Amino acid sequence: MSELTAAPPVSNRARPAVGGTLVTMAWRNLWRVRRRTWLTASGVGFAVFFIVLHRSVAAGAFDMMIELATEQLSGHAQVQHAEYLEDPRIRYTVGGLAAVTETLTRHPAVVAVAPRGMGFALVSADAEAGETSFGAQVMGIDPAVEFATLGKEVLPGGRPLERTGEGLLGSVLARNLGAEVGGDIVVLGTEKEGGVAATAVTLVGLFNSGNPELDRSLMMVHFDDFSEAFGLHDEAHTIAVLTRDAGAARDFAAEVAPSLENAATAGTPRVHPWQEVQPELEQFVVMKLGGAYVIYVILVVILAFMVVNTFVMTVYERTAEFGMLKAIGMPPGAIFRMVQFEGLWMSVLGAALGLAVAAAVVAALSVQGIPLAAMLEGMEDMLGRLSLPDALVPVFDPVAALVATATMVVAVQLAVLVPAPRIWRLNAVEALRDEE
Amino acid sequence: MSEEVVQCQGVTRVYADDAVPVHALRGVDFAVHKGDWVSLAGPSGSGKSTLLHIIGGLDRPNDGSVSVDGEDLGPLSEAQLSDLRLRKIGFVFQAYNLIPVLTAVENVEFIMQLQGVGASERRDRALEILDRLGLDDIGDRRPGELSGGQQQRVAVARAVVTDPVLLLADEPSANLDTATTKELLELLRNINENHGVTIVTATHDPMVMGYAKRPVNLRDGAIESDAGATAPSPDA
Repeated sequence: MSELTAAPPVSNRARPAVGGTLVTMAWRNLWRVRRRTWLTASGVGFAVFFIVLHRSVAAGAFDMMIELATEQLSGHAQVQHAEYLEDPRIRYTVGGLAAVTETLTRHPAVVAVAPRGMGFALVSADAEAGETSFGAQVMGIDPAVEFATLGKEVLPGGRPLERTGEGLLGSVLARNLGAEVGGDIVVLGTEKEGGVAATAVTLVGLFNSGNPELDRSLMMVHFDDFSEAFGLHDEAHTIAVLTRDAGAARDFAAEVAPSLENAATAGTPRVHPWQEVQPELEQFVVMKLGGAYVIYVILVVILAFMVVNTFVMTVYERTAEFGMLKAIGMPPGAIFRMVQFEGLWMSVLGAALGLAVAAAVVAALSVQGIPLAAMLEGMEDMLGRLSLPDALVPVFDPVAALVATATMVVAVQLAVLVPAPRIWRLNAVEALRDEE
Repeated sequence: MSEEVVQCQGVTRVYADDAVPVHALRGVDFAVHKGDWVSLAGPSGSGKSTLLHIIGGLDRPNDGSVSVDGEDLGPLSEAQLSDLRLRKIGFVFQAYNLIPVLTAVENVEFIMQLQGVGASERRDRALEILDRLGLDDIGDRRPGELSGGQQQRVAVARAVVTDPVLLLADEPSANLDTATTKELLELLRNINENHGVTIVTATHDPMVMGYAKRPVNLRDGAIESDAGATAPSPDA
């Protein structure tokens, strides 16, 4: 026989590596029914867009919430005696305050360092109805270096703490005491060594933090007054630190801790990131983000049904074609791989669309921000009290983008499995007869 | 006696899906020799397509045996049958059945790719066969851009590019006009006579039967007449 082409026999060749062609065929197959492809890809794109945008806005919102919550009082990290966080006794102080402060200040990530003394005392005020006393948390701060926003915004008629001999009261505590700005407040407690701690200050302002607990129980005095009254000498209960990035607080704490052990002269210092100082804040963020996953899962499931529908239709419509491929010797596994590649292209195309739109929207919102006043209409008072910014700035979340894309790819591949048995069971003769 | 490419012995096929079983083939004994062009003819329901599908390993008989190129199809698994079709049999279908998203040359290449032929070799061979079959000017067109006749000629190119031992064509002219059918049959004749490819067609078309070297008529699942009947070799 004269062969039609000058080729060697094929019987002993290695079996096929058709992956590249299957990928090409899959891409071209997508465009055989353009409208359906665009609809399905748009569905994938919308899911990716929604998830990425939601996560980006949430990231911006939670970043803002963490900044506000930490800047109000706790800072991004706190240096304390090793026992103090669990058991806040007045004797648990960190000694060598100047050296510790110096060490912290040298760290490039540190923006501000503020020493604080903390003690419980009975505070009294001379009111028109007579002297009244309440138990309170007395906090000594140094106004020259203090970064906490708490106490910097005071109610009209007062002013922030500026020098020794002055004090601030939470608005509710002041009301309970019957104290007024300009009046004297007497503080009586127990100093570090067990003796009597006593001081008297002039009330210069009242603060309204938005936190009922603080407003009801906190008094702020100058750190020097506190040290003198409570017997602190170059020591503090808390040295609060504000860094450049709240998100890196854990790393900062771990990095700075060894150098502080040398600087401190008394009490084993422990550096707590804000997540340890305010665990409820981190739990709130984690809980909120976790709740969003329910919405994401519902979205992905709906999308998966849409993709199942698309690919079931695809397989039914192309029964004769698959029959022909099977007839000429293409293994069912290779036919199925081609359909899988179609799903892959579909998900990648949709995800690319969704990511592009999400990135554009996040970028646009980042310029103007999302106006908080409009979102919190009727709650303007809270905006001002919490020192909230005018706008929420979303932050594009690359992890969300990656996870959303990967989730879509997996979901589509799982959806493609639904019509797979039909490909495997396909009878080539019956399939070809479908077209005749 | 010349070499037998196909040998069927007592091939019976009964479709029992419906309430009344349909006897598509009733103990057919049949052989095709190397270089033959057999045309299976007969009215609808005579069993010609069923016999073609069984020879091609696309369907299995209820009884009897079939061998292609000396290989008994009975014990083969679906995967082995698929492999046998890929290695030894070329198919031409009534509806052309080219892969719509591939160009003519890619369609011809694809089957060689399934066989594991290297990229440059399969491109050379695809271009060569298209050239030989007078299709060199349409290699970069997709099936949707080709006429029915052109598509069927590309389908023939795809079927023979791997030098199969057997070419099976099921109603190859059913969708073609007379002039195009004649072109197709001339092409098949050229392949059969000049290149020694064994051909079996199933058809209603008298023109196809006229081109075939050996018309075989079936009726009610049995061979009614066979112009070149020879008894199957006893040792097959």
